[in-house]
Amino acid sequence: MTANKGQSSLAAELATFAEHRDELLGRAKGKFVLIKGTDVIDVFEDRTDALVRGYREFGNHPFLVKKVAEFETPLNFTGLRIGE
Amino acid sequence: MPSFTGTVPNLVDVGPLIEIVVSPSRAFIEALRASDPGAIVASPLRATAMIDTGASGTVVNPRVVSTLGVRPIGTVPIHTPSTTQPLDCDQFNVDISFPNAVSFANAIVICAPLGMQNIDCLIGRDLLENAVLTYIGYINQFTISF
Repeated sequence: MTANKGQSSLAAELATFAEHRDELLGRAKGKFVLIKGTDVIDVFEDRTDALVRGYREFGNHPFLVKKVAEFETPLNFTGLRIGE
Repeated sequence: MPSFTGTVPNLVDVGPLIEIVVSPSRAFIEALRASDPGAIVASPLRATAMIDTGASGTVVNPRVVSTLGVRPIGTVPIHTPSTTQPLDCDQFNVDISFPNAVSFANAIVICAPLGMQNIDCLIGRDLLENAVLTYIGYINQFTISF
């Protein structure tokens, strides 16, 4: 889904991330986690390594690679209007 | 330092536009072909991009995503003038090539509609962080160097 919907198509993976967030912060802070559905596949030092593993395991299907961090800084767009 | 200079009729109206090429990422292509050597991958897509120093990330419109056939690989919260709280937005993994033969492999972009402006992509500060951008308004010219 795109930004105008205001919803991610990775909702299941985001829920899995939220469920495992504290545990991931304890053991993998600053690393990148690969999640598919309700499964936490692995954590990686580098985002590209996580992407390559995701492509190898799931091909061209959605998966989530996310940095394990306490806070996530939003991207800012001064000229982009969403959800109007 | 590779450079590209663009000249447009009216830089105020048109903005700093460049023609770029967007393709599925090298990481995606290599992984897909490792498991299936006959896998069909979308051809690189020529796209019109605006250099946008007001964007902290790079954006492609839905046409680019659907033409390339790529799937989301992440999410990121975003703020825009029309949001009151951060929205989770899907991220995509692509390669982006500029006219000056500078390429960004495995770029992470978001997908969002870019309105009626005939613009396919916004080049944000994530790609500009190592660039020199010279904007010469009075001669309607800009130069980007990496």
